[in-house]
Amino acid sequence: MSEKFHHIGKSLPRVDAPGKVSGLTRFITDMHFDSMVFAYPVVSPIAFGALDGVDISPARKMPGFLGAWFAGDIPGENQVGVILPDQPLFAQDKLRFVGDAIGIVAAETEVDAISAARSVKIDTTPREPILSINASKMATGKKIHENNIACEHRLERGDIQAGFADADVVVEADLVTPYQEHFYLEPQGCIVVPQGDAFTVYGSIQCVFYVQKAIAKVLGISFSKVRVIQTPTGGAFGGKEDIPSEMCARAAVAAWHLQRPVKMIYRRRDDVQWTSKRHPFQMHYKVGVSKTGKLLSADIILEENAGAYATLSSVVSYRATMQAMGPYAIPNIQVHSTSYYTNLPPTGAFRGFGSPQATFGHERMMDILADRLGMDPVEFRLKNILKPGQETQTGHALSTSVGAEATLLKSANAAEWQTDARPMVSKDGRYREALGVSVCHYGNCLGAAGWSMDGAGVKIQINRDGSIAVAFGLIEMGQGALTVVTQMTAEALGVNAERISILPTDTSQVPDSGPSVASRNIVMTGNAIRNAVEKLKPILSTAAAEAMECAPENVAFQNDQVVNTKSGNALSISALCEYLYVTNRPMDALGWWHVPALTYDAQTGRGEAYFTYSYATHIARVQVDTLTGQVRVQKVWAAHDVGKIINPAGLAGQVQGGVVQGAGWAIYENFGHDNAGRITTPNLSTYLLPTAADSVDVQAFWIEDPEPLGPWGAKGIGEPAIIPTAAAIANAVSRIVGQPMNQIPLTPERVLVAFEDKVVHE
Amino acid sequence: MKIHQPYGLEDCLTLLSELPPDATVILAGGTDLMPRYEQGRILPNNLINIKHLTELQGITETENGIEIGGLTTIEALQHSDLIRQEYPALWRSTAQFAGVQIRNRATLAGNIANASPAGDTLPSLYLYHAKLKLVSRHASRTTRLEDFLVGPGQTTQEPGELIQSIILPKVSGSSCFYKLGLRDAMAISVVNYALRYSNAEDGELTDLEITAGAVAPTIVFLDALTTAILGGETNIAAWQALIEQDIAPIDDIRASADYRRKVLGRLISHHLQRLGVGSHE
Ligand SMILES: Cc1cc2nc3c(=O)[nH]c(=O)nc-3n(C[C@H](O)[C@H](O)[C@H](O)COP(=O)(O)OP(=O)(O)OC[C@H]3O[C@@H](n4cnc5c(N)ncnc54)[C@H](O)[C@@H]3O)c2cc1C
Repeated sequence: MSEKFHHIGKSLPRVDAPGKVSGLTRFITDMHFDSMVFAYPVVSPIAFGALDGVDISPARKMPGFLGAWFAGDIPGENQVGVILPDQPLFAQDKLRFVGDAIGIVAAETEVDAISAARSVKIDTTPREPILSINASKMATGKKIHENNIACEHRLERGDIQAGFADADVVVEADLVTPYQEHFYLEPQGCIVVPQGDAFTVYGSIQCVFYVQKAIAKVLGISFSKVRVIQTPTGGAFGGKEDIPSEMCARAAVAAWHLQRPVKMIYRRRDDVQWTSKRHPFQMHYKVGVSKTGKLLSADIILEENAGAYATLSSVVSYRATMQAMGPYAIPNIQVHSTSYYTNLPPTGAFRGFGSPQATFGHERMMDILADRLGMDPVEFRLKNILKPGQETQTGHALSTSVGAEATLLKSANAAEWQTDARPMVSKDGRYREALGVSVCHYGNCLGAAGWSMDGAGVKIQINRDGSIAVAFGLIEMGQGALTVVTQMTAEALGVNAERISILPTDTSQVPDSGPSVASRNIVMTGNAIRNAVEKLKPILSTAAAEAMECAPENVAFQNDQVVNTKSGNALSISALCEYLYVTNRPMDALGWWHVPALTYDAQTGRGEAYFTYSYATHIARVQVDTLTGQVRVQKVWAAHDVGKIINPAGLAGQVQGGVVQGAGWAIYENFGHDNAGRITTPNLSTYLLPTAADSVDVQAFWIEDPEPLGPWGAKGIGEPAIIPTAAAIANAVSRIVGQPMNQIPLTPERVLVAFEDKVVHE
Repeated sequence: MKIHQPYGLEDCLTLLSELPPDATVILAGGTDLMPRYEQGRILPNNLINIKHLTELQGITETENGIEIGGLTTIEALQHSDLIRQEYPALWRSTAQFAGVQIRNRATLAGNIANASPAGDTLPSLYLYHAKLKLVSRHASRTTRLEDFLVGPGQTTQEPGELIQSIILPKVSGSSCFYKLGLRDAMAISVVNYALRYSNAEDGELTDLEITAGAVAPTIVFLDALTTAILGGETNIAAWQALIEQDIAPIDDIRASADYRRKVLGRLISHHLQRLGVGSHE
């Protein structure tokens, strides 16, 4: 079957690897423009309170000082909220977190800009900050915005009370998941270059069209006057979705006033303190089952810490709501999700976008329920897992590409899943080991909530010499986008991959293609490529038929040649391209794809929340040191339904990276702040990421259950890779400890305390 | 800031004696200094780079033990057969130190002068009763490491002084080191300890010393415990309280004082049981 394909399903080496390995790739920090200056923000020193005034006289005395600009100096609107208009570019009267931007300073050198920005005196009247979901909920009279709720979502389907009445077992639990900091290798950075009334922006950016819109609004100019070009991006994980808009818009204010190129790169410490993170969730699940193990009813409350501004909270909350009970059939469900403002850094997009949190909720519940029923966790899941023809929790009947069950069976077989829940104990009694399982689904692309912007484009341009340039509206951030775009273009055109060059993502090349998020790239860009090639192919075939003097039906594109299938004669691609040019034929096409209309009711949350889902099961073998409480993940068996594999090596890389990042969130990463709202883990010695020594042995398996709407049947993988890991680890640790571990990270201290509680209860 | 590159030890000691002590910092591997500089916590007018001074390099066997040049890197200790065979606790501590890039730069004198309660070579150096050879322009002296380290970041180093070498006497018995960090590499110790013991022919414990780090302002000897055990206290239930007599841990970003207390007790008790010491009643 894969015989049919020449590029799809093959491990084309990463096209961006040579530059990155040799050091020739130029990141934003390597770029320079004539007369370029440097900028740095002036930020709030307090978490909550009033801004009474600023005194820039100390900055004026600093060497190389060029200017400082505040709310009153913004030419357009003082507003950069991504979805809700709740975030000023520069705070005017209210300060909402340590790091809230008040203004921007420019100087001739980077060191001078940072020193000058830090020297600005800021007068404030501090108030006691609100630093948790519960404090935000309880705060009476103390409001961070007009009120403390950033957004709410609901899902109501069936009759939960009737469901609970029918249930033989009803279990309730509280679950807590923490922050996660992206810690992309390359910190946030940009350069804004003014050219009269127009601006070109370069930067480490995930969503070039967001940045374009933000700058146009802040400078009060049209979109056409703002061109945004993405520079090679050293990791993002969602962290460069919302932040570059505010960052580039701040630099643009300085560039507007100075009429000189302005560069701004955040120092790591500042980057960690000021930029977005994964939302901490606290969840309450109440789930009812029959004694035969059928899910009957769920009542779920999700509460999220949105931080000082909403940014992407409403869509994170939407996704968590729509996926709150996982890939299981359940007739009665109610979900209520609320994001609360706090005086901490705004939380936004992070790989999985609410799904790892919701999956922690439903997968811990599935284990707790199985335990209560005396049923094996895998067997219990199999009784409820979503099958083709069944409805999702939102009432969407899925007929095809529902690989959930296949992923569960595959990984359970590979891991030699044991029904016996007793952990294995080392000879000296010190170490205990067990397996934990977790299953997830992930709605591809933006879903009903983001449907209006769920379209994306590509421009394919054929050159006279037979080379092909592709511009696409999404971006490479380390995930391998350039490589799969090359492969999909080569496949669609029937040419060699070497002919194809992918251009830097640039707002002037293709129409607004939305954000590079939600595991969209393969699905959106792949379909757009097919659309462009559908437009180009007839032109190429007609020209080839003319050149080879045959009927267009007899023209075939094979092995980088055009062949007359009747005579066997062939024409090289270069010769065909030259012929196109000299005969004055169109040599480019814009391809576009938009997610089809979704039937969805926002009031009840019922309907087609997403057009399709990716599925995954992770089984983790975990070891706990009973003396210290230390948790080590020894192995993860990861099975993913990706519809169709485009690049096996890239896919394996995504899953390995996702598992390690998921293990980091589950065990090591322990983001902290003090009572004044200052971050206490702003660097790599306090915020512990897993190192190479801690990385996990991952064995991955692929299910290819093709999605009819996906290009060649493919679905997204970027985010599913991380989603089930943490819950699988927590499920294993719960079995080992003999206590429900409903809060992560599973620090040694937390695990040891649970062990001791267990001993006391026994 | 001025960076000085002395030609040799003489030259270096002269520079040190002439520059104002408050505004001068000695730079060895820089693995403690550079992060501090980056965070704006130090801004010296003078930085004296000593990394290339040959007089402070190398491990040599002496009549009574060994002498380790202050600039010897952690990685060099890790590759030394002499250290592995004669001072296995120190050798273990270098294996669990940071990651290879840091070990290649980090020096033994730097780890000592930095005087962190969590410094990984320190429990072993205490266990082996290390002495330091300190030199200045007109003098040199030898001091016990225990007398040199007085608190977190605090030493009895005099202005103009340099740690030239670390002297370890010959040791008897077996020794080992254990580190608990929050991950498997590049982790600062939550607790660490080093342990040395000897057995008589019949297997009876004749000698026992234990040092622990990250549980007090400096490294401590767990004397209450070891004295009691050598005096016949075999009941494990009694050990925890004995250990707690000699330690005074604090809460920090990595762990609570309570966890440190508990986990040190559990690890040491388990360790001693594996050596055949102790029983539950
Ligand atoms: C990523 C990372 C991981 C780390 N992991 C560990 C770890 O696992 N365990 C651990 O114990 N430490 C660790 N450290 C801390 C550090 O590497 C060690 O303390 C190291 O031994 C310091 O040696 P250095 O040569 O780099 O010292 P430097 O940074 O050059 O100097 C440190 C101090 O010692 C003084 N000094 C240096 N040499 C002399 C001398 N000969 N005489 C007098 N004073 C001197 C300096 O003036 C300075 O005050 C880590 C550091 C980093 C950055």
